[in-house]
Amino acid sequence: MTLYIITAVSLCIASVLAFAVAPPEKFLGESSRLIYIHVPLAFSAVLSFILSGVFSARYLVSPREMDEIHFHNAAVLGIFFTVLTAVTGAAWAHIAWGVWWNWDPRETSILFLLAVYSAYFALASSTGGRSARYRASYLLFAAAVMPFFVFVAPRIYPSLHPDTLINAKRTVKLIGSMRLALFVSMASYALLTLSLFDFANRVSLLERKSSQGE
Amino acid sequence: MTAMNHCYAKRRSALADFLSTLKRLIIKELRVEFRSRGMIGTALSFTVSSVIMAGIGYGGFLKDIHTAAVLFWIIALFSAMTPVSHLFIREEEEGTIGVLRIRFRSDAVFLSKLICGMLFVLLSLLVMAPLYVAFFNIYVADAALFVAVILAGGSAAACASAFAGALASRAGGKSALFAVLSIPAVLPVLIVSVSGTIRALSGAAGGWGDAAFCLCYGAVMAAVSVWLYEKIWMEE
Repeated sequence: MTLYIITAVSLCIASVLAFAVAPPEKFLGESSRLIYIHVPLAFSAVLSFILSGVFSARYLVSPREMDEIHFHNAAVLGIFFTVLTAVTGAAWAHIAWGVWWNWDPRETSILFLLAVYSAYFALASSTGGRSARYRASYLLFAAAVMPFFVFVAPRIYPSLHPDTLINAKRTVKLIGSMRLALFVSMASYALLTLSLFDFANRVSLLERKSSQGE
Repeated sequence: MTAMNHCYAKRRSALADFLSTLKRLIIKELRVEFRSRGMIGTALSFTVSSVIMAGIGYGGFLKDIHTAAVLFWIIALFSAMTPVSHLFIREEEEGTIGVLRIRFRSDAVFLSKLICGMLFVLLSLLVMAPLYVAFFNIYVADAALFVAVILAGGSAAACASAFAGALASRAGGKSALFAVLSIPAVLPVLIVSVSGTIRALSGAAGGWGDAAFCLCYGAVMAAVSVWLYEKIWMEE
């Protein structure tokens, strides 16, 4: 409960900073405020996929029911955030560049991530009940592929996206208030990810207990 | 000193045993595939007929380098993934995987199939490339880079799709599931190989970096896959 309260408060603070405190960007205008939603959503997606990889590794080393629930829910959350990232990104692309989709390396990498993690559900439905080890193995494999899509490929090829937060020049090209709003938004979305993850795990555990009780 | 020498000798002996096992398994795979010739014949037929179909459909000179590179790698990757999946699925379908489990280590079995898969993929690509260049009358500005990108991209595709083949064979979904699992993993190879091929055909700089990326990606995928195969190797 404490986590949920802290998450709610941080989201409120992030919203105030993003929509009231930080100024609009000079060329993009008010649409630049999408950065405080789009970038944190992408961050949440990557965080979810990392969690799925970690719990998959734990399951493979020492199988436990809780780890199975954790890696599955983390993968579901990751896909959820990836879809939202793609949707907000497409909306922003339409405003900023005039097209919904132009195969920019970052846009393409998000699509690939969706394909990689959607395949997880194909595997899950194909294997039926005896699938936890296979699903965990695939999620760990996907977690190894993910950094190439998210961190490597967009840095190799020229992109319409602005410089990444982690870049060779080690600078974040945002003024102070915008930088603060962005980092607070990212932190609050991370807390949101953990809250949703915790909630999903509780629901899954209750479902399992009730089905075992029947 | 004697204890150190003893430890060193033990490690060398274990490595020599592993390499000897790997060699035996590779020879076994090659013998089985060349005896039946089913997979090799299918892969080469698919490759050649795809190039012919594309050539007839396009009708001759392919001047646009981007289109040439993309078409090459789409045909190449779909041809390349067939041998890799077949190596794992055949073992499950014929029921011989149990024998391998009793006798050999999982990493030796996986590496032998991966190496054989890579050999077949590279064979398909090396047959396909001259046909493609000839049928489409393509001028290759940097032949060395073109060959390097083909070898690196083909190897990386094999490494990226090997674990998907192993998982699909164990999970019972076979070819359809293999396609769903492997295509996303092979997509980075597609993008980078296309970029390297464009540079090779046009003579632009930077193509060797694309080949190096493919090799690194393949190495990472192979390393992760070897460890993960051990986890799905045994029956539940």
